[in-house]
Amino acid sequence: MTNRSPVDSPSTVAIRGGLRLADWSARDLWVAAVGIGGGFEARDVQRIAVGEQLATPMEHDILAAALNDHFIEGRRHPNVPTWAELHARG
Amino acid sequence: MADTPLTNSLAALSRFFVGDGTLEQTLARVADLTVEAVPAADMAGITMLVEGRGRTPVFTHETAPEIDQAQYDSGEGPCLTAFEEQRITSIESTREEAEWPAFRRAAADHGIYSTLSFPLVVDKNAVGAMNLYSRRERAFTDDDRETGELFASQAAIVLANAQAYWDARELSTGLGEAMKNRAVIEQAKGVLMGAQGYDEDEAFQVLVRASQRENVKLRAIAQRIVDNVTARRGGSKDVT
Repeated sequence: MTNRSPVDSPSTVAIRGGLRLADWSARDLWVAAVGIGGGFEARDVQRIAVGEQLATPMEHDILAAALNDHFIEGRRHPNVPTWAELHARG
Repeated sequence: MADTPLTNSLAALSRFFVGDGTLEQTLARVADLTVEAVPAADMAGITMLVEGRGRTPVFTHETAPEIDQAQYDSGEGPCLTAFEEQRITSIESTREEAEWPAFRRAAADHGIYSTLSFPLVVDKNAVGAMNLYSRRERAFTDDDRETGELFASQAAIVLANAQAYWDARELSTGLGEAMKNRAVIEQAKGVLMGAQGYDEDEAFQVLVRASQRENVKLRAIAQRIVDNVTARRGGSKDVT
Protein backbone atom coordinates (compact mmCIF):
# COMPACT_ATOMS: atom_id res chain seq x y z
CA MET A 1 0.00 0.00 0.00
CA THR A 2 1.34 3.47 -0.88
CA ASN A 3 1.00 6.74 1.01
CA ARG A 4 -0.62 8.40 -2.00
CA SER A 5 -4.07 9.83 -1.55
CA PRO A 6 -6.87 7.96 -3.34
CA VAL A 7 -7.22 10.75 -5.89
CA ASP A 8 -3.83 10.10 -7.51
CA SER A 9 -3.51 6.38 -6.79
CA PRO A 10 -2.83 4.18 -9.84
CA SER A 11 -6.20 2.52 -9.39
CA THR A 12 -8.13 5.80 -9.37
CA VAL A 13 -6.19 7.18 -12.31
CA ALA A 14 -6.86 3.99 -14.30
CA ILE A 15 -10.57 3.92 -13.49
CA ARG A 16 -10.96 7.63 -14.20
CA GLY A 17 -9.16 7.24 -17.52
CA GLY A 18 -11.42 4.34 -18.44
CA LEU A 19 -14.51 6.37 -17.58
CA ARG A 20 -13.29 9.20 -19.78
CA LEU A 21 -12.61 6.89 -22.72
CA ALA A 22 -15.97 5.18 -22.31
CA ASP A 23 -17.72 8.54 -21.93
CA TRP A 24 -19.51 7.04 -18.95
CA SER A 25 -20.77 8.57 -15.73
CA ALA A 26 -20.04 6.91 -12.39
CA ARG A 27 -23.63 5.70 -12.46
CA ASP A 28 -23.12 4.02 -15.84
CA LEU A 29 -20.09 2.26 -14.40
CA TRP A 30 -22.02 1.19 -11.32
CA VAL A 31 -24.79 -0.37 -13.43
CA ALA A 32 -22.24 -2.21 -15.57
CA ALA A 33 -20.29 -3.38 -12.52
CA VAL A 34 -23.41 -4.69 -10.82
CA GLY A 35 -24.18 -6.50 -14.06
CA ILE A 36 -20.96 -8.51 -13.88
CA GLY A 37 -21.24 -9.35 -10.20
CA GLY A 38 -20.14 -6.24 -8.31
CA GLY A 39 -21.73 -5.84 -4.91
CA PHE A 40 -21.05 -2.21 -4.13
CA GLU A 41 -23.42 0.72 -3.80
CA ALA A 42 -23.70 3.49 -6.37
CA ARG A 43 -22.20 6.01 -3.96
CA ASP A 44 -19.10 3.83 -3.51
CA VAL A 45 -18.47 3.87 -7.25
CA GLN A 46 -19.02 7.62 -7.28
CA ARG A 47 -16.51 8.09 -4.46
CA ILE A 48 -13.98 5.78 -6.14
CA ALA A 49 -14.39 7.59 -9.47
CA VAL A 50 -13.65 11.01 -7.97
CA GLY A 51 -10.84 9.75 -5.78
CA GLU A 52 -12.56 10.13 -2.43
CA GLN A 53 -12.27 6.41 -1.76
CA LEU A 54 -9.67 3.86 -2.79
CA ALA A 55 -11.05 0.69 -4.36
CA THR A 56 -10.08 -2.63 -2.84
CA PRO A 57 -8.19 -4.91 -5.25
CA MET A 58 -11.36 -6.88 -5.99
CA GLU A 59 -13.45 -3.74 -6.45
CA HIS A 60 -10.84 -2.33 -8.80
CA ASP A 61 -10.80 -5.51 -10.85
CA ILE A 62 -14.59 -5.58 -11.16
CA LEU A 63 -14.69 -1.92 -12.23
CA ALA A 64 -11.85 -2.48 -14.70
CA ALA A 65 -13.60 -5.58 -16.04
CA ALA A 66 -16.86 -3.63 -16.47
CA LEU A 67 -15.03 -0.97 -18.49
CA ASN A 68 -13.06 -3.49 -20.53
CA ASP A 69 -16.23 -5.45 -21.23
CA HIS A 70 -17.69 -2.25 -22.67
CA PHE A 71 -14.57 -1.58 -24.73
CA ILE A 72 -14.81 -5.02 -26.34
CA GLU A 73 -17.88 -3.78 -28.21
CA GLY A 74 -16.04 -0.81 -29.64
CA ARG A 75 -12.69 -2.62 -30.08
CA ARG A 76 -10.88 0.69 -29.99
CA HIS A 77 -9.45 1.21 -26.50
CA PRO A 78 -6.61 -0.30 -24.54
CA ASN A 79 -7.61 -2.30 -21.51
CA VAL A 80 -7.92 -0.79 -18.07
CA PRO A 81 -5.25 -2.70 -16.12
CA THR A 82 -6.15 -5.05 -13.31
CA TRP A 83 -4.93 -4.36 -9.79
CA ALA A 84 -2.16 -6.97 -10.18
CA GLU A 85 -1.04 -5.46 -13.51
CA LEU A 86 -0.94 -1.97 -12.00
CA HIS A 87 1.20 -3.06 -9.09
CA ALA A 88 3.45 -5.31 -11.16
CA ARG A 89 4.45 -2.13 -13.02
CA GLY A 90 5.60 -0.61 -9.75
CA MET B 1 -63.02 26.81 -5.94
CA ALA B 2 -64.73 28.35 -8.98
CA ASP B 3 -64.30 26.82 -12.42
CA THR B 4 -61.88 29.08 -14.29
CA PRO B 5 -59.30 28.35 -16.97
CA LEU B 6 -56.63 28.61 -14.27
CA THR B 7 -58.23 26.25 -11.78
CA ASN B 8 -59.12 23.82 -14.54
CA SER B 9 -55.53 23.82 -15.80
CA LEU B 10 -54.02 23.48 -12.35
CA ALA B 11 -56.42 20.66 -11.55
CA ALA B 12 -55.44 18.92 -14.78
CA LEU B 13 -51.79 19.45 -13.94
CA SER B 14 -52.19 17.93 -10.49
CA ARG B 15 -53.72 14.79 -12.02
CA PHE B 16 -51.10 14.59 -14.70
CA PHE B 17 -48.89 11.55 -14.35
CA VAL B 18 -45.58 12.12 -16.09
CA GLY B 19 -45.14 8.43 -16.79
CA ASP B 20 -48.05 8.60 -19.21
CA GLY B 21 -45.84 9.94 -21.96
CA THR B 22 -42.35 10.85 -23.03
CA LEU B 23 -40.67 13.92 -21.61
CA GLU B 24 -41.56 15.81 -24.79
CA GLN B 25 -45.19 14.79 -24.50
CA THR B 26 -45.13 15.84 -20.87
CA LEU B 27 -43.81 19.26 -21.78
CA ALA B 28 -46.37 19.62 -24.58
CA ARG B 29 -49.16 18.96 -22.12
CA VAL B 30 -47.72 21.57 -19.78
CA ALA B 31 -47.66 24.12 -22.61
CA ASP B 32 -51.27 23.36 -23.58
CA LEU B 33 -52.42 23.80 -19.99
CA THR B 34 -50.57 27.11 -19.76
CA VAL B 35 -52.39 28.55 -22.77
CA GLU B 36 -55.68 27.46 -21.22
CA ALA B 37 -54.69 29.12 -17.94
CA VAL B 38 -53.83 32.46 -19.55
CA PRO B 39 -56.53 33.30 -22.11
CA ALA B 40 -54.59 36.32 -23.41
CA ALA B 41 -51.95 33.91 -24.70
CA ASP B 42 -52.47 32.73 -28.26
CA MET B 43 -49.58 30.31 -28.10
CA ALA B 44 -46.81 29.09 -25.83
CA GLY B 45 -43.35 27.64 -26.20
CA ILE B 46 -40.81 26.26 -23.77
CA THR B 47 -37.19 27.31 -24.11
CA MET B 48 -34.62 24.80 -22.96
CA LEU B 49 -30.94 24.14 -23.47
CA VAL B 50 -30.42 21.18 -25.77
CA GLU B 51 -26.76 20.17 -26.11
CA GLY B 52 -25.75 23.60 -24.85
CA ARG B 53 -27.85 25.57 -27.31
CA GLY B 54 -31.15 27.31 -26.78
CA ARG B 55 -34.07 25.57 -28.44
CA THR B 56 -37.85 25.49 -28.31
CA PRO B 57 -38.51 21.75 -28.34
CA VAL B 58 -42.12 22.16 -27.24
CA PHE B 59 -44.74 24.58 -28.54
CA THR B 60 -48.47 24.87 -29.02
CA HIS B 61 -48.18 26.55 -32.44
CA GLU B 62 -45.43 26.23 -35.04
CA THR B 63 -44.95 30.02 -35.04
CA ALA B 64 -43.38 29.92 -31.57
CA PRO B 65 -40.14 28.12 -32.51
CA GLU B 66 -39.84 30.21 -35.69
CA ILE B 67 -39.89 33.42 -33.65
CA ASP B 68 -37.61 31.97 -30.98
CA GLN B 69 -34.98 31.09 -33.55
CA ALA B 70 -34.26 34.80 -33.96
CA GLN B 71 -33.17 35.05 -30.34
CA TYR B 72 -31.15 31.84 -30.46
CA ASP B 73 -29.36 33.17 -33.56
CA SER B 74 -28.73 36.63 -32.07
CA GLY B 75 -28.06 35.28 -28.56
CA GLU B 76 -30.57 37.60 -26.91
CA GLY B 77 -34.29 37.84 -26.36
CA PRO B 78 -36.93 37.81 -23.66
CA CYS B 79 -37.05 34.03 -23.30
CA LEU B 80 -33.29 33.65 -22.97
CA THR B 81 -33.18 36.53 -20.50
CA ALA B 82 -35.99 34.99 -18.43
CA PHE B 83 -34.09 31.71 -18.42
CA GLU B 84 -30.59 33.07 -17.78
CA GLU B 85 -31.47 35.80 -15.29
CA GLN B 86 -34.35 33.92 -13.65
CA ARG B 87 -36.77 36.81 -13.95
CA ILE B 88 -40.02 37.50 -15.74
CA THR B 89 -39.61 39.44 -18.97
CA SER B 90 -42.19 41.00 -21.25
CA ILE B 91 -42.61 43.03 -24.42
CA GLU B 92 -45.61 45.33 -24.45
CA SER B 93 -45.39 45.90 -28.18
CA THR B 94 -43.00 44.25 -30.60
CA ARG B 95 -43.69 47.17 -32.99
CA GLU B 96 -41.80 49.52 -30.67
CA GLU B 97 -38.03 49.79 -31.00
CA ALA B 98 -36.23 48.76 -27.82
CA GLU B 99 -34.06 45.91 -26.51
CA TRP B 100 -33.92 42.59 -28.38
CA PRO B 101 -34.50 44.16 -31.85
CA ALA B 102 -33.96 40.94 -33.84
CA PHE B 103 -36.52 39.08 -31.76
CA ARG B 104 -39.00 41.98 -31.98
CA ARG B 105 -38.74 42.03 -35.76
CA ALA B 106 -39.19 38.26 -36.04
CA ALA B 107 -42.19 38.34 -33.70
CA ALA B 108 -43.88 41.24 -35.50
CA ASP B 109 -43.23 39.57 -38.87
CA HIS B 110 -45.14 36.54 -37.58
CA GLY B 111 -48.04 38.62 -36.25
CA ILE B 112 -47.00 38.39 -32.59
CA TYR B 113 -47.23 41.79 -30.90
CA SER B 114 -46.73 41.13 -27.20
CA THR B 115 -44.91 38.51 -25.12
CA LEU B 116 -44.58 37.34 -21.54
CA SER B 117 -41.81 34.94 -20.44
CA PHE B 118 -41.42 33.11 -17.14
CA PRO B 119 -38.33 31.34 -15.85
CA LEU B 120 -38.93 27.73 -14.84
CA VAL B 121 -36.99 27.44 -11.61
CA VAL B 122 -36.51 24.41 -9.37
CA ASP B 123 -34.32 24.59 -6.27
CA LYS B 124 -32.89 27.91 -7.44
CA ASN B 125 -31.85 26.37 -10.75
CA ALA B 126 -33.44 27.49 -14.00
CA VAL B 127 -34.52 24.52 -16.10
CA GLY B 128 -36.02 26.56 -18.91
CA ALA B 129 -38.45 29.35 -19.69
CA MET B 130 -42.09 29.36 -20.63
CA ASN B 131 -43.00 31.94 -23.24
CA LEU B 132 -46.47 33.22 -23.93
CA TYR B 133 -47.21 35.04 -27.19
CA SER B 134 -50.19 37.18 -28.12
CA ARG B 135 -51.40 38.56 -31.43
CA ARG B 136 -52.48 41.75 -29.64
CA GLU B 137 -50.31 44.56 -28.34
CA ARG B 138 -50.34 44.98 -24.55
CA ALA B 139 -52.41 41.83 -24.26
CA PHE B 140 -51.06 40.63 -20.90
CA THR B 141 -52.46 42.17 -17.75
CA ASP B 142 -51.05 42.14 -14.22
CA ASP B 143 -53.49 39.31 -13.48
CA ASP B 144 -52.06 37.31 -16.40
CA ARG B 145 -48.62 37.91 -14.99
CA GLU B 146 -49.63 36.61 -11.57
CA THR B 147 -51.49 33.69 -13.07
CA GLY B 148 -48.61 32.83 -15.35
CA GLU B 149 -46.13 33.04 -12.52
CA LEU B 150 -48.19 30.67 -10.41
CA PHE B 151 -48.57 28.32 -13.30
CA ALA B 152 -44.89 28.46 -14.25
CA SER B 153 -43.88 27.41 -10.76
CA GLN B 154 -46.20 24.42 -11.02
CA ALA B 155 -44.93 23.65 -14.49
CA ALA B 156 -41.32 23.76 -13.29
CA ILE B 157 -42.11 21.16 -10.65
CA VAL B 158 -43.78 18.98 -13.27
CA LEU B 159 -40.68 19.34 -15.43
CA ALA B 160 -38.40 18.42 -12.57
CA ASN B 161 -40.59 15.44 -11.65
CA ALA B 162 -40.72 14.35 -15.27
CA GLN B 163 -36.94 14.50 -15.51
CA ALA B 164 -36.59 12.57 -12.26
CA TYR B 165 -39.11 10.00 -13.46
CA TRP B 166 -37.36 9.41 -16.77
CA ASP B 167 -33.95 9.31 -15.08
CA ALA B 168 -35.25 6.66 -12.69
CA ARG B 169 -36.89 4.75 -15.52
CA GLU B 170 -33.69 4.77 -17.56
CA LEU B 171 -31.76 3.55 -14.52
CA SER B 172 -34.32 0.84 -13.89
CA THR B 173 -34.11 -0.36 -17.49
CA GLY B 174 -30.30 -0.39 -17.32
CA LEU B 175 -30.28 -2.31 -14.07
CA GLY B 176 -32.82 -4.81 -15.42
CA GLU B 177 -30.54 -5.55 -18.33
CA ALA B 178 -27.51 -5.71 -16.02
CA MET B 179 -29.20 -8.22 -13.75
CA LYS B 180 -29.82 -10.56 -16.67
CA ASN B 181 -26.07 -10.54 -17.38
CA ARG B 182 -25.30 -10.99 -13.72
CA ALA B 183 -27.44 -14.10 -13.40
CA VAL B 184 -25.48 -15.90 -16.13
CA ILE B 185 -22.14 -14.72 -14.76
CA GLU B 186 -23.04 -15.91 -11.26
CA GLN B 187 -24.03 -19.30 -12.66
CA ALA B 188 -20.74 -19.59 -14.53
CA LYS B 189 -18.77 -18.66 -11.43
CA GLY B 190 -20.66 -21.38 -9.55
CA VAL B 191 -19.75 -23.91 -12.22
CA LEU B 192 -16.06 -22.96 -12.02
CA MET B 193 -16.07 -23.06 -8.24
CA GLY B 194 -17.67 -26.52 -8.23
CA ALA B 195 -15.62 -27.98 -11.05
CA GLN B 196 -12.22 -26.43 -10.40
CA GLY B 197 -12.27 -25.65 -6.70
CA TYR B 198 -11.83 -21.91 -7.20
CA ASP B 199 -13.11 -19.39 -4.68
CA GLU B 200 -15.49 -16.71 -5.99
CA ASP B 201 -12.80 -14.13 -6.73
CA GLU B 202 -10.64 -16.67 -8.56
CA ALA B 203 -13.62 -17.81 -10.62
CA PHE B 204 -14.30 -14.20 -11.60
CA GLN B 205 -10.65 -13.71 -12.63
CA VAL B 206 -10.84 -16.84 -14.81
CA LEU B 207 -13.84 -15.38 -16.60
CA VAL B 208 -12.14 -12.00 -17.04
CA ARG B 209 -8.96 -13.57 -18.45
CA ALA B 210 -10.97 -15.68 -20.90
CA SER B 211 -12.93 -12.59 -21.97
CA GLN B 212 -9.80 -10.55 -22.59
CA ARG B 213 -7.91 -13.41 -24.25
CA GLU B 214 -10.72 -14.10 -26.70
CA ASN B 215 -11.94 -10.50 -26.94
CA VAL B 216 -15.43 -11.72 -26.15
CA LYS B 217 -17.77 -10.14 -23.65
CA LEU B 218 -17.95 -11.63 -20.16
CA ARG B 219 -21.59 -12.53 -20.54
CA ALA B 220 -20.86 -14.57 -23.69
CA ILE B 221 -18.03 -16.44 -21.95
CA ALA B 222 -20.28 -17.14 -18.97
CA GLN B 223 -23.13 -18.25 -21.20
CA ARG B 224 -20.83 -20.66 -23.01
CA ILE B 225 -19.73 -22.23 -19.73
CA VAL B 226 -23.30 -22.65 -18.55
CA ASP B 227 -24.35 -24.05 -21.93
CA ASN B 228 -21.46 -26.53 -21.94
CA VAL B 229 -22.35 -27.80 -18.51
CA THR B 230 -26.01 -28.01 -19.37
CA ALA B 231 -25.22 -29.96 -22.55
CA ARG B 232 -22.79 -32.37 -20.95
CA ARG B 233 -24.55 -32.90 -17.63
CA GLY B 234 -21.51 -34.12 -15.76
CA GLY B 235 -19.16 -32.06 -17.69
CA SER B 236 -15.73 -31.39 -18.87
CA LYS B 237 -12.86 -30.41 -16.61
CA ASP B 238 -11.91 -27.53 -18.85
CA VAL B 239 -15.16 -25.64 -18.75
CA THR B 240 -13.82 -22.31 -20.04
